[in-house]
Amino acid sequence: MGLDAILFQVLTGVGKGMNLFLLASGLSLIYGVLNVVNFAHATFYLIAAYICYTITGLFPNGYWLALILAPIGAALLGGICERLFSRLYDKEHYTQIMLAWGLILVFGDLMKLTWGSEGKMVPTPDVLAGGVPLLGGNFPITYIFVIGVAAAIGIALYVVLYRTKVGIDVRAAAADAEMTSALGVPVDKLYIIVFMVACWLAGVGGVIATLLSPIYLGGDLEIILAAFIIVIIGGMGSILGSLVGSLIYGVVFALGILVLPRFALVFLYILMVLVLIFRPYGLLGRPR
Amino acid sequence: MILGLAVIVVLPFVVGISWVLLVTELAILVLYAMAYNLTMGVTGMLSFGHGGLFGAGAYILVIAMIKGDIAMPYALLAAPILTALITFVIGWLCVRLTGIYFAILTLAFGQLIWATIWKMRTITGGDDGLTGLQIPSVMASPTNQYFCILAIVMLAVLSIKIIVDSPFGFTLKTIRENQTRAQCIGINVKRYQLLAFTASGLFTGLAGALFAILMRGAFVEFATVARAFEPLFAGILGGMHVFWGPAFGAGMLLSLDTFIGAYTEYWPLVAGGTLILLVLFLPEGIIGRIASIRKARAQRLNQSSA
Repeated sequence: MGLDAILFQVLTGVGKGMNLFLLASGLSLIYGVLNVVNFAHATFYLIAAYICYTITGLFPNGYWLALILAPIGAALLGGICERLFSRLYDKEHYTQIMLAWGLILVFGDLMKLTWGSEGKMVPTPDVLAGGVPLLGGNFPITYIFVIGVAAAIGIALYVVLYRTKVGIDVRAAAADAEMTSALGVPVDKLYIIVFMVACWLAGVGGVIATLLSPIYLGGDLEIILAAFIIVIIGGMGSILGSLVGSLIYGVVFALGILVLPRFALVFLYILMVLVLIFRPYGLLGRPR
Repeated sequence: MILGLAVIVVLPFVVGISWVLLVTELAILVLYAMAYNLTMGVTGMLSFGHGGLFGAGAYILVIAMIKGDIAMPYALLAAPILTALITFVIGWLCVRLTGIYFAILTLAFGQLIWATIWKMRTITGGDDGLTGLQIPSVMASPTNQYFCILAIVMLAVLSIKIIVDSPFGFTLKTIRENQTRAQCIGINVKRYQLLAFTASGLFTGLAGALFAILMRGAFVEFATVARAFEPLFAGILGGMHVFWGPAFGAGMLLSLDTFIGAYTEYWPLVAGGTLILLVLFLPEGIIGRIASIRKARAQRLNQSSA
């Protein structure tokens, strides 16, 4: 296999990774600020993907509408779920994970009721169809679109967190919620906003993921495990870490498929185990 | 106690075969839930890797019997012991971490076992699983199988009871309540955690092997994350800090699954809803709640008499 083909595969991996970044960054944000392990995070991703399917079915050029509406739907749902999680903020992590597991089961069944159990495909908008000749292959425009959207959102997230007043408040609440609250910042409201933003990110991830692969029930469990691997490798609570983790995940998976197709995922688990053993707080995380 | 034994002995002669099989399955789930509770409830370590261990136990038995032509008693002995060895290695790496990091590392190992089972087609049969397990004729009838499996489960649960009530068990509870304090009074926390995790893996492996016998084969579903959540669910349902809590929870879980599952295909909706309500409003579990109400009443009585 030539170098071109390998580079091509790496680029595909970057696309998948950037898609996952939207999910992992939200997971990481919720953990970093709220100290909640949102095991149900990928469920919002899947719900948004299904909403996107419905909207594209209703309107001929519905994809762009879906890209705006579906993540908002996911965010609203997230806001409701945050109210449930808020009762467990001071409890042990396992109670939050069990609540999330309950949500996964309930939403999973509701999705089955609404959309049935067979897989769904979202038609690719005309603008994004086809590919560009690259490295001796034909690189799909959808991947370029996914990388572009994820990168733009990543930059926006960075600017908001590090260059605005709200971002300062969020980071302050992550460092010391009690002290931040004492300084007059409405931490409760901040938590709702952070949770909703994270679910919105997951929603965008879900909508753009429909361009790369079909939607199917139970896909959320697969994706959440991927997101966990990413935030563990990158470091829980670090946005930059989840970017690095996502890229590592995408590229290792894409290359793993070339080397040992059936064990691509195993490589990632081994990588995660190694990171946890030698640097439990992740590559870019800080011990807490 | 004697009444319970009498019920167990008489049961297969008064109810139909489907009930006998259901109770056999229940016994295995009870063992699984109680084995899991050695880590979660007793020692306070959250593990998501037990699905993998359960699957490992099942596959070791089935592979030994089908591919290795090993007689069932030996395979049934080998399965928990080898699972315990695997658990020991995993635990040795995991106990360095605490809290959610421990949980996620166990999840990773559980997934690693699942992925190995799924991908190693030549040995494990991949997603087709391994079927056609030949059970010795003594155990082949549902009633005989019921007695054999129940006897094994009761022995195992008795062993768990002995472990929990021993000084070793009290040390584990000390670690659960306060790790720092346990360390300060000279307890080697990591070593005890590793031992508890390994013991838990031993019984989980046994439960998996028994389940493979009941199902006459092993399937990759035995090792999924969902399987890892089952005993945690049972513990939360029944109460993980009282000895019989997880057993009660396992019973409730199976009856919900069986009876609600018979009415509607949307049983996860009910299960998930129950779980959400329990976690939010009854975090100590049903048996745990009853125990604490009793305790409070006893304390009130004590105060009024004094």
